[in-house]
This record gives sequence, C-alpha cells and structure tokens, in this order.
Amino acid sequence: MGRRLAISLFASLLVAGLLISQAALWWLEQEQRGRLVEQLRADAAGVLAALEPGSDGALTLRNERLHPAYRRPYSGRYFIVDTPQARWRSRSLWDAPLAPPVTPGVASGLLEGPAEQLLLGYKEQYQVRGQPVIVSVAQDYSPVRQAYQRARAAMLVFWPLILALLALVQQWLLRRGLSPLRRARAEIEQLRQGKRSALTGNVVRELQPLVAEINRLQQHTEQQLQRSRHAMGDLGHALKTPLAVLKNRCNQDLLLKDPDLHHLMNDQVSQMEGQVRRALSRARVAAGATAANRFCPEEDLPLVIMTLERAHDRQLTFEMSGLNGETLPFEREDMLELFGNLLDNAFKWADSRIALRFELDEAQCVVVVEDDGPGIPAARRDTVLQRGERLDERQQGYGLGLAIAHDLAVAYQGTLALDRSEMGGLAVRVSLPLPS
Amino acid sequence: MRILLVEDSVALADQLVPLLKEHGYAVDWLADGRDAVVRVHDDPFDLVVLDLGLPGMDGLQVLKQWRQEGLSIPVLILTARDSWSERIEGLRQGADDYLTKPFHPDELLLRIQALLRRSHGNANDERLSAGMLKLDESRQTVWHGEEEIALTGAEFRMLRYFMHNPGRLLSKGQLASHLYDNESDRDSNVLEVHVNRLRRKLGKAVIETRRGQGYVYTGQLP
Repeated sequence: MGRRLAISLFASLLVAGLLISQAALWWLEQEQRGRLVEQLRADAAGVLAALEPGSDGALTLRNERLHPAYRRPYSGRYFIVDTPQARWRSRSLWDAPLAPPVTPGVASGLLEGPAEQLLLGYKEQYQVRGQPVIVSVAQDYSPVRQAYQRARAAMLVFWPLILALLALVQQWLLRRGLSPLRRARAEIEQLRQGKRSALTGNVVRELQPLVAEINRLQQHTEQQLQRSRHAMGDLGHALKTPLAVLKNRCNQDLLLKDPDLHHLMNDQVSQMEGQVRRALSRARVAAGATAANRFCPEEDLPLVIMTLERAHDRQLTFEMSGLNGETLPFEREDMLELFGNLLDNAFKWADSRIALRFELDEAQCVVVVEDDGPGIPAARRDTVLQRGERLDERQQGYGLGLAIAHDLAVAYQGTLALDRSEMGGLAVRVSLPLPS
Repeated sequence: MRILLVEDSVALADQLVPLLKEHGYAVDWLADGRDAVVRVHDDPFDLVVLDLGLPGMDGLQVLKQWRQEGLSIPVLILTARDSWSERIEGLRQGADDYLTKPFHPDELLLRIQALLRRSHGNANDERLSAGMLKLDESRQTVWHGEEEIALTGAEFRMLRYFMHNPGRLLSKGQLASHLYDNESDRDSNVLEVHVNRLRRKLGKAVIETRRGQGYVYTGQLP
C-alpha cells in the first residue's frame, strides 16, 4: 500500500513537474520572441530612416546610417528594402537568397536564412513621398531557440533526478523516524513467542506511553493466568483431600462389611477423581496465551524422567532423539503436562524400553512416544481418547493420562493418534502445529 | 522408623496415622507449616510426609527452608496439586518423591519403603536385605534363606531399624527416638526385652551388645 502510494506520488510529481517546467520555458520563449519582434520593428524603422530621396527624387539607401551588423556578412541581422524602382539587400546577406515574409507584420514561421540560420522575419509597408516602400527585416533566432531547447532537455533530465534524490532522502527520513516502531514491533513479536517477558522501556519519548501500556497489558495477562491457575489448584486441593479420605475409608472399612457398597462407592469416587483431574487439567491449559515460559525439551524432560523413575520405582532405558537444544514455542507447563502424562503411561506399561522422538519441520512439531509394553488393541484406541476409559483396573487411571494429553493436543490445534509401535507396545503420535 | 506427617486435613491424618502405625512406623503429626520447620530439628525423624497446601507456611517453603538449613532428611510430598510443573517444582526444591491425592494407602506405604531404603543406600529389591536376613515389609516377617520367621509388631519395628543401619553402633537413646513417637512410653527395659526376643528367634549373634554403648546389627546367623 505504502509502496504503491509512493510510486503514484512520484509519478504525478514527475509529470506535473515536467509539464510546468516545459510550459514555463515555452512562455519565456514567447516573451523573448515578443521582445525580439519589438526590436525588429525598431530595426525596420531604422532601415527606413536610412532611405533618403536623392536629387533626382529617387530614394537612395545611406549605408553609413545603417547599423554596422548589416554590413558584416552572415551577422544574423538582415534587411530587404523594396521600392517600385529598386530593391536593396543588406550586405550581411551576401549572396544568400532570402524570401521576405509574404504578408506585412511578423512572419508566422521562421524563415530560412543564410548559413543555416533560422530567422525571425518582419515586414512593414511605408509611404515615402507617395511611393510605397516595403522594408523586411530579419534576425537570427537560432541561438535563442537552441538555448531554450537545451533548457528543455536539461529539465527533462534533471527533474527526475532531483525527484529521485528527494524520494531517497524522504525514505531515509521515514525509515529513521519509524525505526523505534519497527524495534517495538520486533519486540512484541518476541513477547508473543515468549522470548522476552517485557518490552524495553528505553525508546523515543513518543512511544513510551505505548510501550508502558503494552507492558502493563502483558503483566495483567500473566497475573490473570497465574490467578486462575492458583484458583484451579486450590479447588483441586479442596476436592481431592476429601476424596482421598472417602476412598481410604472405603477401602479400610467398607470392603469387609459390604462388598457391593464398597464396589459402588469406590467406583463413583474414582470417577469423581478422574473428572476433577481432567477438568482441572483442561482449565489449566494456557494454549494461545502469551508464552512467558517456553518449553525446552532437553532441559525440562530429564526432570520429568527423574520424577517418573522415582514414582514407578523402576529403571527403564529411555531414549530421546531428534533435538538440538531447540526451544519450542509452547507453554512450558502445558508441555510438561502433556509429556508427563504420556511418559507416565509409557513408564507404567513398558517392559524395559521407552523411546521419545521429535520430528521438527517448519510447519509442525511431531512427537512420538513408544514403549515395548503390551500396547492397546486397535479396537479400543478410540474409546480411550474419548472418555479416558480405564483399561486395566490394576493400574490406576491408564486412559486418563492419554485423554488429558489428547485434550492438550487439541487445545494447541494439534492431533494425538494411537498406533502400534515397532518396539511392540503403544506408539502415541502427537502433532502440534507451530505458530507461524 | 520414625515419620513426621505434616498434613492439615484432620480427616486424612486420622486415617494415615493409624495406617502408618499399623505398619510399624512411629508417627508424629503436625498440621501447621511453621511448626514443621522447627519440629524436624527436635527429633531424629527418618522421613517426612509433607502436604503442600498447609496453613501458616506453604509446604514448598517449608521444604526449601529445610534444604537451606542443610537438612537432608528424605521428604515425600503428598499433595492434591497434581500438575507436572508442580511435581517438578517439588523435586527441584529437594523433595525425594511426590505422591498426589487421592492415593491408595498401599501406594503410600510402598513409596515410604522405597524412599527409606534409598536413603539408607539399599538396593531396590522387593525385600529389605541386610546380612543373612531379608525383611518382608508387607507381611512383617523375616526370611532366612527359605525359612519365614514371624515377628511381632514391636520386633518388626526394631529389626527394620537395625536392618536399615547394619554394622552401625546404635545407642538405646537412638533406638528409642527412632522407634517411638513422643506419645509413647519410652522405657529402656522394653528395648532390652525386644532385643532379647529377637536374639531368641534369630540367634545370639544377630545383634551384638556393646556394653555401655548400645547395639550393633551384624546379620550373622548360626
């Protein structure tokens, strides 16, 4: 848009400038010509004054009264005097022919003169002693004409040059004037990507209020997120401790007294627990918010692995591949949740080996988590993701982790698919689109 | 083995204290984070079960302060905060394990066992082994080769503490402070009685007496 505007502005300035300059030169030339005509008129009168009636009554031309230029050959000033008896030509014409203007007054065009001169001609009719005398004078116009032609050509060349130079200077000024804005824009982008937590306040005075406002907004968003997360955590705490009490009591006392009721209670409490966990994890997702903490798999995942090794009390071979210290543009807490749940499942079910593979390209980040455990039969894979269905009563909440991971992937506009791993167990494939 | 339980929910603590006692642990219970910060220095606890959402002072703050004071006691965090970032934060602050509510009581017991063994540098087998004996903590019995020997609760408690500290000289005071909580009656005669009963069951050489100093577990059977 700006470029198109600049080009059209440049073009109209160019055309207008050229038109005005050419018109001005044309007008100046006309003025000049007018003055020359005035001079020619005076010249004609001068030539007439050089005519003197002789003793015989015939007119003679007194050369000494003429302007010296009329005597120098091809001087550029010429005359022809016609009387019924005689015709006088100025000596300056030498032997070149000159056709005087046809009608009295200023010749409409330029006359061809000697030595390739172009002449401005003027013709006047007088009556001297009852005799018609026609005086034609001409003056070389070519120097004037050439001068104007040169001026016109120079205008054609210099005006675009001047304009181009001005445009460059303007561009430079604009660029310099807008550079703080560009810097601020780059910083806002970094802010969005989580590469920085605030804009630098050290900017030109005009931008300072804007930068301060953006920083305040960013802080506000951050606080809002923190607040809602804490509120969720508190709610979780408030619900889960009573659930734990209920469940333990149920296991301790009810199991012997009333096995049916125990089964019912246990089942219901477990369902409530699962619902609370899933709802909380959904509410916690920060996808789309500003990512102040970005996820760095090689820094963050070893901690997850350490936690899992302690929790499951088993040492498995864990391989991670496909990364070179990249930081991914996703919220750290969300990714910890995603990978924590996926790897937790893998740790529960793997026999001896877990592989985590990253496949990064420009558009998306694909993560594949594989284990060598029993896997999930193809027919049940969909239901696992849909409802967080528990597949095995012995190991708590098998499907829930996958369902939570699925929710997270969806929140990031990604997908989560289950498949059979070449290692023998389950392969979970998560694709997350990278923000452009 | 003596455990400090820091948990503000009375209902949950009412369940956990008997559960842990039943499995041979001496348990002291606190509900306030500020008390926990101080209390842990008063008695030689072997492990702390720590809730995070505590009144007075948050569990993570408590843990942080302990670690800053150079306290290396194993800490198991027991909390309803189950997000992974919170788990990792807990471990970063120096927790040794992290269990989220609601939990199965057996899970808690297993984690406590594993943590105690790890903190004493033992391999992570199903049974705790020291010398020629293997202790089955779930059945509260001890194995000598293929022979399973039954133990009373008090014998089990004592033998477990010995087996966690094989070859180390343990004074009567040390034994008492690790085997009984503050509410129990601490009588040094009771300790002698239990040592003698263990010797009668397992052989004289299994625990040596150092006169005036205390006992050393050797794990040697005839």
